[in-house]
Amino acid sequence: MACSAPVRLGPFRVAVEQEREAAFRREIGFASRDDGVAPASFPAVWLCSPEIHAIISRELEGEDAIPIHESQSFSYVGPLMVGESYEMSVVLRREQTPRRLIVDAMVATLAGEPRLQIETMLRIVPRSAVEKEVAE
Amino acid sequence: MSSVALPAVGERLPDTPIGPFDADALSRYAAISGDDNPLHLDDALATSIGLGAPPVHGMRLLAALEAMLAAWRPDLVIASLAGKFVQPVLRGEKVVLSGRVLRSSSEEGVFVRLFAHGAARVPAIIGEALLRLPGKSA
Repeated sequence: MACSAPVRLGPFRVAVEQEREAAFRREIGFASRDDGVAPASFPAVWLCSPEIHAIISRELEGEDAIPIHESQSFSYVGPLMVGESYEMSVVLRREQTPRRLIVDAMVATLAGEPRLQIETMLRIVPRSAVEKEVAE
Repeated sequence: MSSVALPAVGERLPDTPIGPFDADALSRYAAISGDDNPLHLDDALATSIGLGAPPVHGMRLLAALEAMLAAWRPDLVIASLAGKFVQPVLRGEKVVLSGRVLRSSSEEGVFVRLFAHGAARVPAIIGEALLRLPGKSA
């Protein structure tokens, strides 16, 4: 069930920087490829931007609760290319029962061509409930 | 008509062991991804919610599932990738990645069910991916 108005962020500029993409590939263990296409999971790094962090922190302000990453999806229209910049727009929705924050992001080329939709689902769990769940 | 042979329905991807991930590995991923949530890095915080050790970043594991797909069929491209994070994988645990083809056609693409198993009996991640021939749009 949705509650309160969604929060919109952006669009803001994001990029598949060559060095960061190469470091991501190495760390994850991707085989190298020479077609210049970034891994489908690479945009996860954009979801950790200070703008998105700030809004999640604001949602949890004053609560003894933890955001737990519940699910993640990437749906592509076209590939992201190493060295290219893109525009990302974000909508943050809230749900109750169970309580969740859902971050929907749209990524497009600078010319406005859609490339990718991202959905990140965070379940907001009181710390005491996490302890109980882990104990079980 | 493409000459690429698509995988058959029911084909299993080779099981792929990864990890175990130590504290350095979690710190490196945090630095590269920007996901510096202290839960993944701070033993005391993990202990405070009843975990025996900090959990590995779920996105780190989902990305590893993508790497497994890319190694299995480098001639296909990923049109979508998704995962539900069911159970935490803790620092120090070995992980086995696996997958199975559920649907396969040149029109619809190749739909693969994905799993990441840590030490727990239930999967850590249940995922799915849709792969397509290069140049085939959604």
